[in-house]
Amino acid sequence: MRKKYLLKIYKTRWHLIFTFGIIIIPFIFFLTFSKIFGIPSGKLFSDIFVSFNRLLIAYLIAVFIGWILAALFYRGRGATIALPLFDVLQSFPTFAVLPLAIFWGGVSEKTIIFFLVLAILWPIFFSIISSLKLMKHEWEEAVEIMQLKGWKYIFNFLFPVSIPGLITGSIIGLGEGWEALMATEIIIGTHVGLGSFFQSFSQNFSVTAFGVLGFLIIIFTINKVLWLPLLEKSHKQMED
Amino acid sequence: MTKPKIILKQLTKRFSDENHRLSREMPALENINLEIMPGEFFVFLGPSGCGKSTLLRIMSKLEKKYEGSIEFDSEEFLSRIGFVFQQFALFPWLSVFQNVELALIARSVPDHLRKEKINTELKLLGLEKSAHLYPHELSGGMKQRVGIARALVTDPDVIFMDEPFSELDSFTASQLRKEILSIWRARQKTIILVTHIIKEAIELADRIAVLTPSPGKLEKIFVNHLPRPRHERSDEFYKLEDQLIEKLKP
Repeated sequence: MRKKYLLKIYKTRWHLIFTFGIIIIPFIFFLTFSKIFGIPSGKLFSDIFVSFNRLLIAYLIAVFIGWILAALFYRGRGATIALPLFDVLQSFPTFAVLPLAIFWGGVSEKTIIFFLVLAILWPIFFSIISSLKLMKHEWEEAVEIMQLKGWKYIFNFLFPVSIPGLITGSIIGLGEGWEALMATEIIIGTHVGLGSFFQSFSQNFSVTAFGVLGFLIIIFTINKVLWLPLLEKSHKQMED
Repeated sequence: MTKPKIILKQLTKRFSDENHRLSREMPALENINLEIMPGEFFVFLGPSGCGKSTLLRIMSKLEKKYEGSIEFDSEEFLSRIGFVFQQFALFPWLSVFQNVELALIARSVPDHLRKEKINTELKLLGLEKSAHLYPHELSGGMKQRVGIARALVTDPDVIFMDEPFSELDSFTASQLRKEILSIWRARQKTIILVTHIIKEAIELADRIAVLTPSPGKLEKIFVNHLPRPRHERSDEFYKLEDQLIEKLKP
Protein backbone atom coordinates (compact mmCIF):
# COMPACT_ATOMS: atom_id res chain seq x y z
CA MET A 1 0.00 0.00 0.00
CA ARG A 2 2.77 2.38 0.98
CA LYS A 3 5.04 1.40 -1.96
CA LYS A 4 2.26 2.04 -4.44
CA TYR A 5 1.95 5.56 -3.05
CA LEU A 6 5.69 6.15 -3.29
CA LEU A 7 5.73 5.33 -6.99
CA LYS A 8 3.07 7.95 -7.60
CA ILE A 9 5.95 10.48 -7.72
CA TYR A 10 6.16 9.52 -11.40
CA LYS A 11 2.70 10.32 -12.68
CA THR A 12 3.09 9.07 -16.27
CA ARG A 13 5.51 6.94 -18.30
CA TRP A 14 6.80 10.14 -19.99
CA HIS A 15 7.54 11.62 -16.59
CA LEU A 16 9.66 8.56 -15.77
CA ILE A 17 11.46 8.67 -19.16
CA PHE A 18 12.08 12.42 -18.74
CA THR A 19 13.51 11.80 -15.28
CA PHE A 20 15.92 9.15 -16.63
CA GLY A 21 16.90 11.62 -19.36
CA ILE A 22 17.74 14.20 -16.74
CA ILE A 23 19.91 11.69 -14.90
CA ILE A 24 21.87 10.81 -18.06
CA ILE A 25 22.40 14.42 -19.25
CA PRO A 26 25.15 15.31 -16.70
CA PHE A 27 27.18 12.21 -17.65
CA ILE A 28 26.98 13.00 -21.37
CA PHE A 29 27.79 16.63 -20.66
CA PHE A 30 30.89 15.84 -18.60
CA LEU A 31 32.17 13.25 -21.09
CA THR A 32 31.84 15.76 -23.95
CA PHE A 33 33.31 18.52 -21.79
CA SER A 34 36.40 16.50 -20.84
CA LYS A 35 36.95 15.41 -24.49
CA ILE A 36 36.74 19.02 -25.83
CA PHE A 37 39.14 20.47 -23.26
CA GLY A 38 41.48 17.48 -23.10
CA ILE A 39 40.88 16.85 -19.44
CA PRO A 40 41.21 13.18 -18.46
CA SER A 41 37.59 12.13 -17.87
CA GLY A 42 38.74 9.82 -15.07
CA LYS A 43 40.18 12.80 -13.20
CA LEU A 44 37.00 14.83 -13.72
CA PHE A 45 34.70 12.04 -12.55
CA SER A 46 36.92 11.26 -9.56
CA ASP A 47 36.81 14.97 -8.54
CA ILE A 48 33.02 14.91 -8.77
CA PHE A 49 32.84 11.62 -6.88
CA VAL A 50 35.14 12.79 -4.05
CA SER A 51 33.22 16.05 -3.57
CA PHE A 52 29.91 14.21 -3.65
CA ASN A 53 31.17 11.70 -1.15
CA ARG A 54 32.29 14.43 1.26
CA LEU A 55 28.98 16.21 0.97
CA LEU A 56 26.99 12.99 1.39
CA ILE A 57 28.87 11.95 4.55
CA ALA A 58 28.52 15.44 6.04
CA TYR A 59 24.83 15.53 5.09
CA LEU A 60 24.10 12.17 6.76
CA ILE A 61 25.91 13.25 9.95
CA ALA A 62 24.05 16.60 9.93
CA VAL A 63 20.68 14.84 9.46
CA PHE A 64 21.43 12.46 12.33
CA ILE A 65 22.55 15.19 14.74
CA GLY A 66 19.95 17.72 13.56
CA TRP A 67 17.06 15.29 13.92
CA ILE A 68 18.07 14.19 17.42
CA LEU A 69 18.58 17.80 18.57
CA ALA A 70 15.24 18.83 17.09
CA ALA A 71 13.42 15.91 18.72
CA LEU A 72 14.99 16.77 22.07
CA PHE A 73 14.46 20.51 21.99
CA TYR A 74 11.35 21.28 19.96
CA ARG A 75 9.28 21.93 23.08
CA GLY A 76 9.38 22.04 26.84
CA ARG A 77 11.77 23.74 29.19
CA GLY A 78 14.78 22.51 27.18
CA ALA A 79 13.52 24.44 24.15
CA THR A 80 13.38 27.78 25.97
CA ILE A 81 17.04 27.44 26.90
CA ALA A 82 18.44 25.63 23.86
CA LEU A 83 16.69 27.37 20.94
CA PRO A 84 18.11 30.88 21.56
CA LEU A 85 21.54 29.27 21.99
CA PHE A 86 21.24 27.34 18.71
CA ASP A 87 19.99 30.51 17.02
CA VAL A 88 23.19 32.31 18.03
CA LEU A 89 25.28 29.36 16.82
CA GLN A 90 23.56 29.24 13.43
CA SER A 91 24.04 33.01 12.97
CA PHE A 92 27.76 32.69 13.67
CA PRO A 93 29.78 32.88 10.40
CA THR A 94 30.97 29.32 9.83
CA PHE A 95 34.15 30.34 7.98
CA ALA A 96 35.41 32.07 11.12
CA VAL A 97 35.94 28.59 12.58
CA LEU A 98 37.82 27.26 9.56
CA PRO A 99 41.35 28.28 10.69
CA LEU A 100 40.68 26.69 14.08
CA ALA A 101 39.34 23.53 12.43
CA ILE A 102 42.49 23.31 10.25
CA PHE A 103 44.68 23.94 13.32
CA TRP A 104 43.04 21.02 15.16
CA GLY A 105 42.37 18.62 12.31
CA GLY A 106 44.99 19.66 9.75
CA VAL A 107 44.30 19.43 6.02
CA SER A 108 42.27 16.27 6.17
CA GLU A 109 38.94 14.72 5.19
CA LYS A 110 37.83 15.03 8.81
CA THR A 111 38.35 18.81 8.79
CA ILE A 112 36.40 19.25 5.55
CA ILE A 113 33.54 17.04 6.72
CA PHE A 114 33.43 18.71 10.16
CA PHE A 115 33.22 22.06 8.48
CA LEU A 116 30.50 20.90 6.08
CA VAL A 117 28.45 19.48 8.97
CA LEU A 118 28.53 22.92 10.61
CA ALA A 119 27.22 24.49 7.40
CA ILE A 120 24.45 21.92 6.75
CA LEU A 121 23.30 21.24 10.31
CA TRP A 122 21.41 24.43 11.19
CA PRO A 123 19.02 24.70 8.22
CA ILE A 124 18.09 21.04 8.77
CA PHE A 125 17.70 21.48 12.52
CA PHE A 126 15.53 24.62 12.32
CA SER A 127 13.36 23.24 9.50
CA ILE A 128 12.66 20.07 11.51
CA ILE A 129 11.92 22.21 14.57
CA SER A 130 9.36 24.22 12.59
CA SER A 131 7.70 21.01 11.34
CA LEU A 132 7.50 19.59 14.85
CA LYS A 133 6.16 22.83 16.26
CA LEU A 134 3.37 22.84 13.67
CA MET A 135 2.25 19.39 14.80
CA LYS A 136 -1.50 19.37 15.49
CA HIS A 137 -2.39 19.20 19.15
CA GLU A 138 -5.09 16.60 18.40
CA TRP A 139 -2.48 14.27 16.88
CA GLU A 140 -0.51 14.43 20.11
CA GLU A 141 -3.67 13.71 22.09
CA ALA A 142 -4.49 10.78 19.80
CA VAL A 143 -1.07 9.16 20.32
CA GLU A 144 -1.36 9.77 24.06
CA ILE A 145 -4.72 7.99 24.19
CA MET A 146 -3.24 5.13 22.14
CA GLN A 147 -0.30 5.02 24.56
CA LEU A 148 2.16 5.06 21.70
CA LYS A 149 5.54 5.30 23.41
CA GLY A 150 9.31 4.83 22.97
CA TRP A 151 10.60 3.72 19.58
CA LYS A 152 7.07 3.14 18.31
CA TYR A 153 6.30 6.80 19.04
CA ILE A 154 9.48 7.95 17.30
CA PHE A 155 9.12 5.81 14.16
CA ASN A 156 5.35 5.97 13.71
CA PHE A 157 4.67 9.53 14.80
CA LEU A 158 7.57 11.88 15.44
CA PHE A 159 9.61 10.92 12.38
CA PRO A 160 6.73 11.19 9.85
CA VAL A 161 5.73 14.58 11.29
CA SER A 162 9.31 15.81 10.88
CA ILE A 163 9.66 14.74 7.23
CA PRO A 164 8.48 17.96 5.49
CA GLY A 165 10.96 19.94 7.62
CA LEU A 166 13.69 17.41 6.99
CA ILE A 167 13.24 17.73 3.23
CA THR A 168 13.01 21.53 3.21
CA GLY A 169 16.04 21.68 5.52
CA SER A 170 17.94 19.27 3.28
CA ILE A 171 17.35 21.43 0.20
CA ILE A 172 18.53 24.58 1.98
CA GLY A 173 21.30 22.80 3.90
CA LEU A 174 22.74 21.11 0.82
CA GLY A 175 22.71 24.45 -1.02
CA GLU A 176 24.84 25.90 1.76
CA GLY A 177 26.83 22.67 1.85
CA TRP A 178 27.86 22.95 -1.83
CA GLU A 179 28.99 26.51 -1.25
CA ALA A 180 30.96 25.57 1.86
CA LEU A 181 32.43 22.51 0.09
CA MET A 182 33.79 24.49 -2.86
CA ALA A 183 35.19 27.21 -0.62
CA THR A 184 36.74 24.75 1.84
CA GLU A 185 38.36 22.67 -0.91
CA ILE A 186 39.80 25.82 -2.48
CA ILE A 187 40.95 27.43 0.81
CA ILE A 188 42.40 24.24 2.27
CA GLY A 189 43.92 23.32 -1.08
CA THR A 190 42.89 19.70 -1.44
CA HIS A 191 44.31 17.73 -4.38
CA VAL A 192 41.03 16.11 -5.36
CA GLY A 193 37.50 17.44 -5.47
CA LEU A 194 35.55 19.96 -7.52
CA GLY A 195 37.07 22.83 -5.52
CA SER A 196 40.58 21.81 -6.54
CA PHE A 197 39.34 21.33 -10.14
CA PHE A 198 38.09 24.93 -10.29
CA GLN A 199 41.25 26.13 -8.54
CA SER A 200 43.54 24.42 -11.04
CA PHE A 201 41.63 25.84 -14.05
CA SER A 202 41.06 29.30 -12.54
CA GLN A 203 43.07 30.96 -15.35
CA ASN A 204 41.08 29.24 -18.10
CA PHE A 205 37.78 31.04 -18.57
CA SER A 206 36.18 28.46 -20.92
CA VAL A 207 36.91 25.49 -18.67
CA THR A 208 35.66 27.40 -15.61
CA ALA A 209 32.50 28.54 -17.40
CA PHE A 210 31.68 25.02 -18.64
CA GLY A 211 32.59 23.63 -15.24
CA VAL A 212 30.10 25.97 -13.57
CA LEU A 213 27.49 25.01 -16.18
CA GLY A 214 28.10 21.31 -15.49
CA PHE A 215 27.88 21.98 -11.78
CA LEU A 216 24.52 23.70 -12.26
CA ILE A 217 23.29 20.73 -14.32
CA ILE A 218 24.22 18.37 -11.47
CA ILE A 219 22.39 20.48 -8.89
CA PHE A 220 19.37 20.88 -11.16
CA THR A 221 19.31 17.12 -11.75
CA ILE A 222 19.45 16.29 -8.06
CA ASN A 223 16.71 18.79 -7.29
CA LYS A 224 14.49 17.68 -10.14
CA VAL A 225 14.93 13.95 -9.62
CA LEU A 226 15.12 13.77 -5.85
CA TRP A 227 14.25 16.81 -3.75
CA LEU A 228 11.35 18.44 -5.58
CA PRO A 229 9.31 15.20 -5.88
CA LEU A 230 10.07 14.43 -2.23
CA LEU A 231 9.06 17.95 -1.19
CA GLU A 232 5.78 17.69 -3.11
CA LYS A 233 5.08 14.23 -1.75
CA SER A 234 5.86 15.21 1.85
CA HIS A 235 3.52 18.19 1.73
CA LYS A 236 0.80 16.15 0.06
CA GLN A 237 1.15 13.55 2.80
CA MET A 238 0.43 16.17 5.44
CA GLU A 239 -2.86 17.23 3.80
CA ASP A 240 -5.88 16.31 5.87
CA MET B 1 -24.25 -3.03 43.84
CA THR B 2 -22.46 -2.08 40.59
CA LYS B 3 -19.32 -0.04 41.05
CA PRO B 4 -19.25 3.26 39.06
CA LYS B 5 -16.79 3.45 36.15
CA ILE B 6 -15.77 6.99 37.03
CA ILE B 7 -16.36 9.11 40.13
CA LEU B 8 -15.67 12.85 40.01
CA LYS B 9 -15.32 14.60 43.34
CA GLN B 10 -15.24 18.39 43.62
CA LEU B 11 -13.50 18.68 40.30
CA THR B 12 -12.31 22.20 39.52
CA LYS B 13 -10.17 23.42 36.67
CA ARG B 14 -8.60 26.84 36.29
CA PHE B 15 -6.69 28.10 33.26
CA SER B 16 -3.97 30.63 33.87
CA ASP B 17 -4.22 33.68 31.65
CA GLU B 18 -0.52 34.33 31.09
CA ASN B 19 -1.18 37.22 28.70
CA HIS B 20 -2.80 39.18 31.47
CA ARG B 21 -0.47 41.52 33.35
CA LEU B 22 -1.44 40.14 36.73
CA SER B 23 -1.33 36.53 35.51
CA ARG B 24 -4.82 35.81 36.83
CA GLU B 25 -6.53 32.43 36.76
CA MET B 26 -9.73 31.84 34.81
CA PRO B 27 -12.04 29.19 36.26
CA ALA B 28 -13.19 26.75 33.55
CA LEU B 29 -14.94 24.13 35.70
CA GLU B 30 -16.13 24.42 39.27
CA ASN B 31 -16.96 21.79 41.82
CA ILE B 32 -18.16 18.96 39.57
CA ASN B 33 -19.43 15.89 41.43
CA LEU B 34 -20.88 12.90 39.62
CA GLU B 35 -20.69 9.15 38.98
CA ILE B 36 -20.81 7.41 35.62
CA MET B 37 -21.98 3.80 35.61
CA PRO B 38 -20.64 0.91 33.45
CA GLY B 39 -22.44 0.48 30.14
CA GLU B 40 -24.04 3.91 30.44
CA PHE B 41 -24.43 6.36 27.57
CA PHE B 42 -23.67 9.59 29.41
CA VAL B 43 -23.88 12.98 27.71
CA PHE B 44 -22.58 16.35 28.86
CA LEU B 45 -24.67 19.13 27.35
CA GLY B 46 -23.79 22.79 27.44
CA PRO B 47 -23.11 25.90 25.38
CA SER B 48 -19.70 26.68 23.87
CA GLY B 49 -17.13 27.60 26.49
CA CYS B 50 -18.79 25.78 29.38
CA GLY B 51 -15.78 23.49 29.79
CA LYS B 52 -17.39 20.25 28.61
CA SER B 53 -14.47 19.31 26.34
CA THR B 54 -12.07 20.17 29.15
CA LEU B 55 -14.02 17.86 31.45
CA LEU B 56 -13.72 15.04 28.91
CA ARG B 57 -9.98 15.65 28.66
CA ILE B 58 -9.61 15.59 32.43
CA MET B 59 -11.48 12.29 32.67
CA SER B 60 -9.30 10.74 29.95
CA LYS B 61 -6.19 12.25 31.61
CA LEU B 62 -5.25 14.26 28.55
CA GLU B 63 -5.51 17.22 30.89
CA LYS B 64 -3.51 16.53 34.02
CA LYS B 65 -3.75 19.71 36.06
CA TYR B 66 -6.95 20.07 38.05
CA GLU B 67 -8.25 20.27 41.61
CA GLY B 68 -10.45 17.65 43.22
CA SER B 69 -10.26 13.95 42.46
CA ILE B 70 -11.20 11.31 39.89
CA GLU B 71 -11.61 7.66 40.79
CA PHE B 72 -11.70 4.91 38.19
CA ASP B 73 -13.12 1.41 38.65
CA SER B 74 -9.74 -0.21 37.97
CA GLU B 75 -6.06 0.61 37.78
CA GLU B 76 -6.00 -0.36 34.09
CA PHE B 77 -8.73 2.14 33.27
CA LEU B 78 -6.54 4.42 31.17
CA SER B 79 -5.24 1.56 29.05
CA ARG B 80 -8.84 0.59 28.26
CA ILE B 81 -10.18 3.81 26.80
CA GLY B 82 -10.85 5.12 23.30
CA PHE B 83 -11.32 8.72 22.20
CA VAL B 84 -13.21 10.12 19.23
CA PHE B 85 -12.11 13.65 18.38
CA GLN B 86 -14.20 16.51 17.06
CA GLN B 87 -11.83 17.12 14.14
CA PHE B 88 -11.05 13.44 13.65
CA ALA B 89 -7.29 13.65 14.53
CA LEU B 90 -6.36 11.23 11.76
CA PHE B 91 -2.72 10.98 10.73
CA PRO B 92 -2.61 12.22 7.13
CA TRP B 93 0.51 10.22 6.22
CA LEU B 94 -1.23 6.94 7.04
CA SER B 95 -3.99 5.17 5.10
CA VAL B 96 -7.34 4.32 6.68
CA PHE B 97 -6.06 0.82 7.50
CA GLN B 98 -2.79 2.16 8.96
CA ASN B 99 -4.57 4.80 11.04
CA VAL B 100 -6.63 2.11 12.72
CA GLU B 101 -3.63 -0.22 12.91
CA LEU B 102 -1.52 2.30 14.85
CA ALA B 103 -3.75 1.92 17.92
CA LEU B 104 -2.95 -1.81 17.87
CA ILE B 105 0.76 -1.31 17.19
CA ALA B 106 0.85 0.90 20.29
CA ARG B 107 -0.56 -1.97 22.33
CA SER B 108 1.85 -4.50 20.75
CA VAL B 109 -0.93 -6.61 19.24
CA PRO B 110 0.72 -9.30 17.03
CA ASP B 111 0.59 -8.76 13.28
CA HIS B 112 -1.72 -11.70 12.45
CA LEU B 113 -4.32 -10.57 15.01
CA ARG B 114 -4.14 -6.96 13.89
CA LYS B 115 -5.43 -7.60 10.39
CA GLU B 116 -8.46 -9.51 11.63
CA LYS B 117 -9.40 -6.88 14.23
CA ILE B 118 -8.99 -3.98 11.81
CA ASN B 119 -11.05 -5.67 9.09
CA THR B 120 -13.85 -6.34 11.60
CA GLU B 121 -14.05 -2.66 12.57
CA LEU B 122 -13.71 -1.37 9.01
CA LYS B 123 -16.53 -3.67 7.91
CA LEU B 124 -18.70 -2.57 10.84
CA LEU B 125 -18.29 1.06 9.81
CA GLY B 126 -18.61 0.45 6.06
CA LEU B 127 -14.98 1.28 5.34
CA GLU B 128 -13.73 -2.03 3.99
CA LYS B 129 -13.44 -0.65 0.43
CA SER B 130 -11.70 2.51 1.63
CA ALA B 131 -8.92 0.81 3.62
CA HIS B 132 -6.22 1.93 1.17
CA LEU B 133 -7.36 5.57 0.98
CA TYR B 134 -5.66 8.46 2.76
CA PRO B 135 -7.51 11.00 4.96
CA HIS B 136 -7.41 13.74 2.29
CA GLU B 137 -9.32 11.41 -0.02
CA LEU B 138 -12.20 10.94 2.47
CA SER B 139 -15.36 12.93 3.22
CA GLY B 140 -15.95 14.28 6.75
CA GLY B 141 -18.32 11.43 7.54
CA MET B 142 -15.82 8.81 6.41
CA LYS B 143 -13.05 10.47 8.41
CA GLN B 144 -15.14 10.28 11.55
CA ARG B 145 -15.93 6.62 10.79
CA VAL B 146 -12.17 5.99 10.74
CA GLY B 147 -11.89 7.86 14.06
CA ILE B 148 -14.58 5.62 15.54
CA ALA B 149 -12.99 2.46 14.11
CA ARG B 150 -9.66 3.51 15.67
CA ALA B 151 -11.36 4.03 19.03
CA LEU B 152 -13.14 0.67 18.85
CA VAL B 153 -10.34 -1.53 17.56
CA THR B 154 -8.60 -1.87 20.92
CA ASP B 155 -11.87 -3.05 22.52
CA PRO B 156 -11.99 -0.28 25.14
CA ASP B 157 -14.29 -0.27 28.18
CA VAL B 158 -14.99 3.45 27.89
CA ILE B 159 -15.20 5.60 24.76
CA PHE B 160 -14.94 9.38 25.11
CA MET B 161 -16.51 11.39 22.29
CA ASP B 162 -15.79 15.08 21.93
CA GLU B 163 -18.58 16.60 19.80
CA PRO B 164 -18.03 13.84 17.24
CA PHE B 165 -20.76 14.95 14.83
CA SER B 166 -20.34 18.72 14.91
CA GLU B 167 -18.10 18.81 11.81
CA LEU B 168 -20.57 16.76 9.75
CA ASP B 169 -23.65 17.65 7.72
CA SER B 170 -26.96 16.88 9.43
CA PHE B 171 -27.77 13.83 7.28
CA THR B 172 -24.38 12.18 7.90
CA ALA B 173 -24.52 13.12 11.60
CA SER B 174 -27.96 11.54 11.97
CA GLN B 175 -26.80 8.35 10.21
CA LEU B 176 -23.66 8.12 12.38
CA ARG B 177 -25.68 8.65 15.58
CA LYS B 178 -27.82 5.64 14.68
CA GLU B 179 -24.69 3.56 14.04
CA ILE B 180 -23.11 4.65 17.32
CA LEU B 181 -26.26 3.62 19.19
CA SER B 182 -26.28 0.24 17.50
CA ILE B 183 -22.55 -0.29 18.31
CA TRP B 184 -23.17 0.77 21.92
CA ARG B 185 -26.02 -1.73 22.26
CA ALA B 186 -24.07 -4.56 20.63
CA ARG B 187 -20.74 -4.00 22.40
CA GLN B 188 -22.06 -2.70 25.73
CA LYS B 189 -19.42 -0.04 26.14
CA THR B 190 -19.60 2.97 28.42
CA ILE B 191 -19.84 6.04 26.20
CA ILE B 192 -19.24 9.56 27.48
CA LEU B 193 -20.08 12.20 24.90
CA VAL B 194 -20.12 15.97 24.94
CA THR B 195 -22.36 18.06 22.71
CA HIS B 196 -24.08 21.42 22.48
CA ILE B 197 -26.98 20.00 20.44
CA ILE B 198 -30.02 19.28 22.64
CA LYS B 199 -31.71 16.87 20.21
CA GLU B 200 -28.49 14.87 19.89
CA ALA B 201 -28.27 14.55 23.67
CA ILE B 202 -31.89 13.36 23.94
CA GLU B 203 -31.52 10.88 21.07
CA LEU B 204 -28.41 9.27 22.52
CA ALA B 205 -28.21 9.60 26.29
CA ASP B 206 -29.25 7.51 29.24
CA ARG B 207 -28.45 10.54 31.39
CA ILE B 208 -27.77 14.13 30.40
CA ALA B 209 -25.64 16.40 32.56
CA VAL B 210 -26.33 20.08 31.87
CA LEU B 211 -23.37 22.41 32.36
CA THR B 212 -23.64 26.16 32.83
CA PRO B 213 -21.11 28.46 31.15
CA SER B 214 -18.12 30.35 32.60
CA PRO B 215 -17.29 28.63 34.85
CA GLY B 216 -18.80 25.24 33.97
CA LYS B 217 -20.95 24.03 36.85
CA LEU B 218 -23.16 20.99 36.95
CA GLU B 219 -26.66 22.48 36.75
CA LYS B 220 -28.69 19.29 36.74
CA ILE B 221 -28.55 15.65 35.64
CA PHE B 222 -31.59 14.50 33.66
CA VAL B 223 -32.42 10.80 33.49
CA ASN B 224 -33.66 10.07 29.98
CA HIS B 225 -36.42 7.43 30.24
CA LEU B 226 -37.61 7.77 26.64
CA PRO B 227 -37.81 4.36 24.98
CA ARG B 228 -35.44 3.65 22.09
CA PRO B 229 -35.60 4.31 19.15
CA ARG B 230 -36.45 7.84 20.14
CA HIS B 231 -38.71 9.86 17.90
CA GLU B 232 -37.88 13.53 17.60
CA ARG B 233 -41.53 14.46 17.12
CA SER B 234 -42.97 12.60 20.08
CA ASP B 235 -44.54 14.58 22.94
CA GLU B 236 -42.08 13.14 25.46
CA PHE B 237 -39.15 14.21 23.30
CA TYR B 238 -40.50 17.77 23.10
CA LYS B 239 -41.14 17.81 26.84
CA LEU B 240 -37.58 16.82 27.70
CA GLU B 241 -36.25 19.26 25.11
CA ASP B 242 -38.20 22.09 26.76
CA GLN B 243 -36.84 21.14 30.18
CA LEU B 244 -33.28 21.15 28.85
CA ILE B 245 -33.76 24.49 27.06
CA GLU B 246 -35.09 25.94 30.29
CA LYS B 247 -31.97 24.80 32.18
CA LEU B 248 -29.63 26.06 29.48
CA LYS B 249 -31.11 29.56 29.39
CA PRO B 250 -28.53 32.16 30.46
